[in-house]
Amino acid sequence: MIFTSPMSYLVAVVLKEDSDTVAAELLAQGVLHFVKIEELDPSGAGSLLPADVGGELAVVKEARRRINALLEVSEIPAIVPVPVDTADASGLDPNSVNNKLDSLVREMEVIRGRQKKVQQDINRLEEVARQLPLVSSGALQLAGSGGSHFLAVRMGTLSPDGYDRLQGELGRYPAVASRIGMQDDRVIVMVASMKRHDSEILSILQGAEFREQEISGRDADRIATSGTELQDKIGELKRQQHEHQTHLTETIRNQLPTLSDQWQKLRVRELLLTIRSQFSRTTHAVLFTGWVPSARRTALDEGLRRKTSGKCHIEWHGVREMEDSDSPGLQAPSELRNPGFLRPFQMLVSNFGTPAYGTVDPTLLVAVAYLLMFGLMFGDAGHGLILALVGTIGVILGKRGKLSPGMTMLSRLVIWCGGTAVVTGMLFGSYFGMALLPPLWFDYHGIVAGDGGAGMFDSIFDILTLTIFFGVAVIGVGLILNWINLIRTRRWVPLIFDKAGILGGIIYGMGIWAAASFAASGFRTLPAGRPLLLGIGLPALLLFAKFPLSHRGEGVRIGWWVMEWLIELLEVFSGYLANTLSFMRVAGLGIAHVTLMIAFFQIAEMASPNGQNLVSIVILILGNVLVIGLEGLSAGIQSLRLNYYEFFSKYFNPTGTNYKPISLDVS
Amino acid sequence: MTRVATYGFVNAKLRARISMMLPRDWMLQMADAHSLTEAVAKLNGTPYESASVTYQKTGDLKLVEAELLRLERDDVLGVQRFLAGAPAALAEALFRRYEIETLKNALRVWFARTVAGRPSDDVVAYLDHDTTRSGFSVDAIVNAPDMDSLLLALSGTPYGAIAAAELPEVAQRESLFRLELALDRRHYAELRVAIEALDAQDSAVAKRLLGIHIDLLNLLWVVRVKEFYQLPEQEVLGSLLSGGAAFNERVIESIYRSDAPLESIVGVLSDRYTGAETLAGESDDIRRLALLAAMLQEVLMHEIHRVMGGYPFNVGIVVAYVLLRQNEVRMITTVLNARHYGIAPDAVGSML
Repeated sequence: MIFTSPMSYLVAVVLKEDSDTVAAELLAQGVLHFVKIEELDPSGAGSLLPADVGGELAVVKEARRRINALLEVSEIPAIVPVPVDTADASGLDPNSVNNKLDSLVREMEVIRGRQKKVQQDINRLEEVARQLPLVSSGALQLAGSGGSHFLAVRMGTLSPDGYDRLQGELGRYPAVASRIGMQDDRVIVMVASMKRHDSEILSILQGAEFREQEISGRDADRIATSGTELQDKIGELKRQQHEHQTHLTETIRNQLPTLSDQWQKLRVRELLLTIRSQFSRTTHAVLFTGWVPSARRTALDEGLRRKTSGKCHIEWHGVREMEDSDSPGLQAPSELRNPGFLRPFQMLVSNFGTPAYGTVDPTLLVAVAYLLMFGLMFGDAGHGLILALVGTIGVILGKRGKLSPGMTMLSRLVIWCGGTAVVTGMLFGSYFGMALLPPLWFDYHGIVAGDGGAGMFDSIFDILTLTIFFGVAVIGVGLILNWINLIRTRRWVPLIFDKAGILGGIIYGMGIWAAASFAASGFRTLPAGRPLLLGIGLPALLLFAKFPLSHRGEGVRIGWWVMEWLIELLEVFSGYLANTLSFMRVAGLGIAHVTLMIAFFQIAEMASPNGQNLVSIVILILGNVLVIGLEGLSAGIQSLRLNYYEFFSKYFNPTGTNYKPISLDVS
Repeated sequence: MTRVATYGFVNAKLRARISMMLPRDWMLQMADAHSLTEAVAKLNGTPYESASVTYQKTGDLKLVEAELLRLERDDVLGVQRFLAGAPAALAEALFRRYEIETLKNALRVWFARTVAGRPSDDVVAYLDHDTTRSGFSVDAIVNAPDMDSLLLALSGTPYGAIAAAELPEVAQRESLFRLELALDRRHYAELRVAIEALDAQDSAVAKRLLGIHIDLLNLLWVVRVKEFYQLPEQEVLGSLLSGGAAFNERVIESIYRSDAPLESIVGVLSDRYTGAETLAGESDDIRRLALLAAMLQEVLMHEIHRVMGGYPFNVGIVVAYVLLRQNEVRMITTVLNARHYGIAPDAVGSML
C-alpha cells in the first residue's frame, strides 16, 4: 500500500505433456506477469520454437466477439464473467460455436428480410402520407387515374360491402382508402395509391364496383383531412416492425443460456491460449518466465511442482539480480495493492502513470491531499450531500450495468468528494449557502461577505495564508517522498543534488522560513544574512556539483555546466515559488463558491423584496444546481491539477510497467 | 482577425475530431464480420451508432446508408459554425455538394419515370429531403409530370437556368448525363469562387486539396468511359471538371488516348504509390477500376495528411476534415455493401 509490491522473477521449464495442466494452474493462480523469452535473452531465443496457438486463439476470440455483437444488437446486457472450471473450457470446440452462431445469424437474417419488406411498405405509405397535403394544398396538379405523378388519387362511391372488400384487398398494397362520407346508400371513398400499382388498384376497384367521380377543388381539402386511415395503416406496419424486432431479440434471448455458457467457456479458453502463447518450446519441453509478487511466490511454486508431479525446473531470481543481468530492458512491473475503498484514487494515480517499481505508491497520499483540496474549495454540507447522492446513484446504475466501469469508479470518487464537502461544510457552517448551524471551525461565508470571522481567521488573507501553508505541507511531503524513492532506488546523486533532492529541499525550506519572517515583520525586514547565506546561498552553490558528477567521463565542459546550473537555479527558485503560490487557487475556488452563492441569494432577494416567493425559490434552486455543477467540476479538476503538477512533480516517477497477470479475476 | 484567431479554435476542434475518426484497420475488422448484422453492430459505440439503430429497427441497408449520409451532412454543416467570412463561405460551398447530390438523385427518379418509363418510386424514401438550402422541393421534382413542371419546380433556384439549358438535350438523348455534369460543374465553379475569395495562403492550400480531389474524379471518369462506354473523345474531354492539381487537360488527353489508361495513371503516380503491381496483376476491369479508385484515394489522403502536418492555422484543416469525413462514410458504406453482397473480406480491403 505504501510501496509497490516486491516482485520475484520466475523461470520455469516443464514437460510438453504437462503444458496444458501448467497453463490451467497459472490461470487459476492468476499471478504471473509474463515476459517473453525474447525479452530476457534475444540471442538465445532463436533456438526455441514459439507456441503454436495463434490460429486457435483467433477463432476463440472471434467466436466470443460475435456473441458480444449479437447481444449488443439485441440490446441484451453484456455477459458478466463468472468463474468456470478450466477443464470444462478445454472441452469446447470453438469451430462448432462459430457454426452455431452462423445458423443463428441466418435465422436473424430471415427476420431482417421481413423487417425490410415491412419497412419498404412503411416507406411507400409514408410517401403517400407526405403527398396528401401537397395534393390538398394545390402544390401539385390534382390527378385522377390519368395523372402522371407518383400519387394516384381517386374519389368515388361504392357499396358498404364493396368498401369492406376494398379495405381487405388494399392491405396488400401501399395504398389507403378513406371513408369521406355517405351519398344515398353508398360510401364516398378517397383512394390514394402509388402510381406503380395503378393496374392492380384499378382491378381491385373494379371488383368492388367503384364508381369514380371528378375531384374538385373542394374535395382537395377533404383529402387532406382524411389521412386517418393512412396513419392507422402506417401505425399498424410500425407495430409489425416492432414485433419483428422483438422476435429478433427473443431469438437471441432464447439462446442466451447457451450463448452465456459458451461465452464463459470461450473466455477461459482464450485466457488459457493466451497463457500458452507466452510459452516457448523445444521438442519435449516448454519454457516460460515472468514476474510474480514475492508474497505469492511460494503458492505458485508449490502449485507448479504439484501439477507436474515435481517434473519441472523452477528458478527464482530477485529484482536486483535481474537488473544486474544482461537484460537491460527487463523491468519489474509495479503492482499497486490498495484496499477497495481507495480504488477511485488509484484510478487517479493510474491516469497519470504507473510508479516505477520499488517507489512509493501515492494512492493513499493522493486520497488525503485530493479530498482536503476539494473540501477546502467546495465547503458546503448541503452541496456535498447532493454530490454524495449523485455519486450513489451512479454506483447503483453501475452495479446494474447501466454505467461503464470507468463512470462507476468516477461515481465512487464523487461520493468521497461529497462526503468531504459535508465535513468541511460543517466546519465552515455552510448548508446550501445558508448558515443553518454555527461553524465548527470558521465562518467562510461571513469572511467572504465581510461580516464574519473571528479568532485566527477574520479576513480573506487569512484564508489565502492557510492555503499557502497547506501547499507548503503538500510540497514538503512530496520532497520527503522523493528522497525515500531515491534512497530505495539507490540514486544518490539525484538524492542530494536534484532540484527536488536534499539541497533543493533545504533551499525551499529556508525560502519558506525567510518569506514567513519577512511577512511576520510586516513586510519590512528580511532575516539576517548569515542564515540565508548558509541555507540558500551555499546549497545553491553546491548544486553546481551535480553536473560534473552526473557527466563523469564525458570530459570537462565548464561553460556548459555553468549554463545548466544557472538554468537549474532559475527553475528551483521560480518553480518552488510558482508551485507554492499555485495553492492559492484552493482559496480562490473556495471564495468563488461562496461568492456565487451570495450572488444568487442577492438575486433572489431582488426578485422578492417582500419576502420569499416562488420566483426567489426557483432562483435559489437553480443557483444551487449551477454552483454544484460548475464548482463541483472546477474543484475536482483543480484538485487533480494540484496533485498532478505540484505534488506528483516532486517525487512521482511514472515510468513503471503496470503489473498485468493473466487471471480469471474480472476486476 | 489574425490567422490564429480565425483558425485556432476550428483547428483544435477538427483535429480532435479527426483523431477520433475510424481508422482503416477498424474498417477491415468490420469487413471481417461474418454477416451484415454483425458488421452493422460494429457501429455501436461510434458516432454512427444511429445508423446501427436504424438497421436494427428496419433491416433496410439503404436506410442505413441514408442515415450515414445524414450524419455526414450534419457534421459538415456544423463546421460552418466555427468559421466566419470567406472561410465560412467555402464551408458553405463544400456543404452544397449534398444539395447537388440530392438534386441529381431526385432528377434520376423523375427521369426514370417520365423519360425512361421505368418507375423507381421505391428510391424516393431514401432521398434526403432536408438538404435543399436553395429552396427546391424534392417532392415537387420527383412528382413533376413533365419538363415544364420540372422547370417550374426548379425556378427561382440556382439550378433553374442549368435545367432550362440542359433539359432539351436530356429528352433528345434520353440521358441525364449532360445535366448532371452541368450541376457538378456548377458546384465546382462555386467552390472556385469561394476559394478565390480566400487570402493567398488559404487559397493555395484549398486549391491544392480540392485540385487533387478533382483529379481523382476526372481520372476515374476518363478510365470508366474508356473501358466501358467508348464515348467520342471530344465529349469525354469536354466533360472534365476544371481545377485539377496534378493532371491538366493535356495529360488527361494523353491518358485517354493511351491503350492502357490505368497504367498511364500509375506511371504518373508511381513515385507516391506502392501498389502499382497489384493493379497491373489484375485482369478484371471492374476490379482494376476499384483498385485505381483506392489508389487515387490514397494519394488524396497522402496530400491531406501532408497539409495537416504543415502550418496549422489555415483553411486546409477545414477542407481536409470535410474530405476525411466523406472518406470515412464512404468506407463504411463500401464495407456494409460488400458484406451485404458477400464479397470476401480480402477483396474489400482493396476497395477502401
